[in-house]
This record gives sequence, structure tokens and C-alpha cells, in this order.
Amino acid sequence: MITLISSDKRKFHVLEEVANQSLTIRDVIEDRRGRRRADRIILVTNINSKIPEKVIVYWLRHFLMPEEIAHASMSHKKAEKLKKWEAKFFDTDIDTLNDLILAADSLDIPSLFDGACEKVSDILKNRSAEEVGEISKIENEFTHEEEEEEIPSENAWVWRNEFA
Amino acid sequence: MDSLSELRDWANLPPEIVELISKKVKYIVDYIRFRAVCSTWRSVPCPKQHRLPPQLPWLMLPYDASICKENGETRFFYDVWESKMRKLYVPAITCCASYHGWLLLVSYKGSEVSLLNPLTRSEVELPPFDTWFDPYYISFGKSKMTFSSDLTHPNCLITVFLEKYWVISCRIGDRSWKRYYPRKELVDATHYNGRLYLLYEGEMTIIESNKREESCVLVPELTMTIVLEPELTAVKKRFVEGKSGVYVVGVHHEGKFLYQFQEQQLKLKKINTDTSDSTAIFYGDNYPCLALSSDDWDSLDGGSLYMEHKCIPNVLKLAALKSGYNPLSVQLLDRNVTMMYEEEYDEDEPAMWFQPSLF
Repeated sequence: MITLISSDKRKFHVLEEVANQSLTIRDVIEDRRGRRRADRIILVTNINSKIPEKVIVYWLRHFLMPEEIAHASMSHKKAEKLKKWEAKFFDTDIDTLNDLILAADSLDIPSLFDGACEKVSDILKNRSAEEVGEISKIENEFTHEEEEEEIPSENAWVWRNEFA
Repeated sequence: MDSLSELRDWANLPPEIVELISKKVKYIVDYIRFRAVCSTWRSVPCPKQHRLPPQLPWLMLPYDASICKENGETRFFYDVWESKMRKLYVPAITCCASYHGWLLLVSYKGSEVSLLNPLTRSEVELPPFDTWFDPYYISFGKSKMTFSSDLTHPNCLITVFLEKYWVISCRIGDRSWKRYYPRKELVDATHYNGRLYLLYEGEMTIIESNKREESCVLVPELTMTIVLEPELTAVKKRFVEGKSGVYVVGVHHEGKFLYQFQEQQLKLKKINTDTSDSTAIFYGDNYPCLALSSDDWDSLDGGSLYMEHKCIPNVLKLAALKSGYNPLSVQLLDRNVTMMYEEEYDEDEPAMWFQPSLF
């Protein structure tokens, strides 16, 4: 069992096999192997406080269904079920997705990282730059000239619908 | 990190993560919008074609003189997937084929031949069609074009098929086209993966081109002939180049047959067009077909055939045949595209599928 400590000092006890899904944690555990028990405590302070819980939920679901099985011999029904579960898991607000991406990046959890990025790109699809800016709370910081000249003329067709 | 609020700033995501998200955006139009959100997102490198899946095609609408009069040298492209009409610059020259985002433009006498990417407006000059060329080839016959690789590759071979006897190819910078002489009337031809595929009535021939000899374009090294199934005779049939190889699609009013060329067994294998098939085919009566995988695009129905065909004069219809009609596609065009055809349009240039690309 290893212990993760979040930025707000909460402790999460996780089975090593489960936490191993984070390549970063796996490496840390590997480095400290054979040492005292106190070294099995890992600080994950660079992660927003709500996120470890979510990450652990994700780990547990995936731990029950390791990646290798997922690809090779998982039955169609099970794969479908996991897909549904993931869709629900990622169906969250954009801020949480941002945090999940950053957590997955720093903890090196490829499948979580990919899944979250995929979801973000789904949210961005079919939306204008203004809408995307609003959703992601990015302020439009292009200069007036860029806005007026370069960007639209580069690909004017993107912004228009020629139907009368 | 102390201030967690800083973490949520989407404009300050590490660039490699922004790039990764941008890579998950598959549609070219989304990609361009993505780059217009803010300067950090804009700094994401432009997508190389190979990173994006083959793009969903737009329907390039027939040449319409009245529209050109009002709008200058433009053509309309119907984006079926966003239900938008896109207006792009295309000079008023006959456009007789398209491939991976490029249009093949041929002047009336064939003295000027060029490629145009209407999205980027890049143009590439090709050798003229010379004395053998007859405007008839592109006015009444069908024509198509394929590239052996990315157009930016210096050895990219451009192969053009003009019904019914002309299979010509060149490389960018060549001074003339090299011709391959088919032995009889061709139904279709394509160049795929270093091989030349020729479709005759009743049979199909595959010619391995000699890759070592670069100056000589199509030297037959290995030729094989495959007899077509009886159901593929006397129906409209075309080659379709898909992700996983070359297909032959046969279409008649009751349905379609799809065969895939099996490289190992050197034969055509019939594909069952039930739901397990992930290939969606875009078919046009006069222009090249293309195949996309429904694994790449949720909006595509696997095993379906998206057709562009003229039903009644001045009305263009898009229908997806798949044990019946796909109501969505039919509805799309009933609602929108028919509006465009109040005026007469040039019968010589019907609509064609166009796959947008930024390269």
C-alpha cells in the first residue's frame, strides 16, 4: 500500500498495483524499493485537490480491466461497458478536464491523458473561435490588426456560410 | 505550485499539451478555428496531412456561370458535415478531377494544366496536354487523378486518367507527360502504392511499376490479370482507393457490390456490406470515388455509399444507399443544395467530391 498526499494534506491509500498505472509513481516506487515504509508516501501537491479522488476512481476502474486485456481479448460487451463508463467519467466541466490533463501529464498516465484530451477536443469541435474562447475562458488577445486582417483573410471560408 | 487558479488557465497550458489536444481535433475546419482562439493556441504547428485522418469530403458544386458573374472566380463547396456552403477561389477554367485537396485545372485546349489547392490557393504548374488532347476527353468522359505520395515529395508521381484510353503521368517539373497505352477501352484506372490498376469490362489488370528506374515512369515488370465476377459486368464500376487498399465498387439502381483487392491472394474478395464493414464510399457518376473509414469519423455510416447523382434536371441529390436510403443525407440536400440550381448550370461539370487539405 502506498500513500498519496494531496496539496490540501489529504491522504489517499492506494494499492501499489493500482497506483502503478502512473508511470511517475511507478518509477518513484521502483527507486525507493527496499527502503523504509515512510518512503512509500508520495506527495502529489502539484495537483488540484479534487483531482486525486477522480484519478483513483479512474485507476480502480482500469485496474479491473488492464490495458492489455482491453486490446486483445476483451469481449465486445465489456469494451462497450468501459467505453460508456469512460464517457460518463469524462463528462465533466472544462476546468476539471484541464486539471485532469495536467494531473495525467505530471503523473504520466497515458490513457487518462489521451481520454481527457479527446474529450476536450470533442467539446471544441464545430465551435467558432469566439465560442471556444468563452468556454475555455481565454481572452481574445490578438491585436486588432491580426483580428481584422490576418486571421480571417487567411481562411475566410471557415467563418462564413454562403447560404443566403 | 501554489496558486491553483493559475492551473486552470487554458491559454497557459504547456505547449505540448495544447499540441496534443489539437491533434485530437480531426476536422480541418476545427483545426483552423482552434488556431484562431489565442496566440498560444495559434503557435501550435499547422497539421501535416498525415497527422489528420483522411478528411470528410465536401461536394464541389457544378460550375454555374451566373454565380461566377456575381462573385468572380469562385466555386461553391457544400460542407455536408456542418451544413455550410463554402465559397473558395477557383479560376474559371475547367476543373476535371480532384485528389487530396487539389484540383486539376485544364484550359480548353489543354495548353495550360495546373493543380490548385483552393484552401491555400497554392498552385502547381504541370506540363501541357499537347497535341493529343481533345477537349472531348474532359467534357464527356470521366477523368481522375492520383498522387503516388504527398505532393511535396520530390518524386511524387501524378497520374491522370482520361476516359477511355488515356493514362498519363508526370512529376512536378517534368516537361511532358508520359503515356501508358492500355490494350483496349478502359473503364477506370488508378495508381496506388506503386502499382497501376486498370479496369476493363470483365477484367482488371495490375501492373507493377518499376520504381528503380525513375526516369521511365511506368515500366511493366509484373502484370497480372484478374477476371471480374459476373455481377460486376454491365454495371457502373469504379476503383476506390481506401485506407486498406484498392476496392472495386459496382453500382446499379438496386444496390452496390464492393470488392476488395487482396494483395496476398491476388484476387478480388467480395465485401459484405453489413454494419460490420467500416468502409464508407463516396461515389460520383463522373468523378473519382473515395473511401473513408467510419472508424475515423463518427458521423460516417460504415458500409454505406454516399452518392452524388443528378436525379432531375437542375436538382442535385445526395443519397446514401445502404439497404435503402440514409434519410439524413437525402434530407440535407433536399433542404439546402437544391436552392443553388435555379439557374442553368454547366452540364459538362457536374458536382464532385472534394477532400479538403491544407497541403
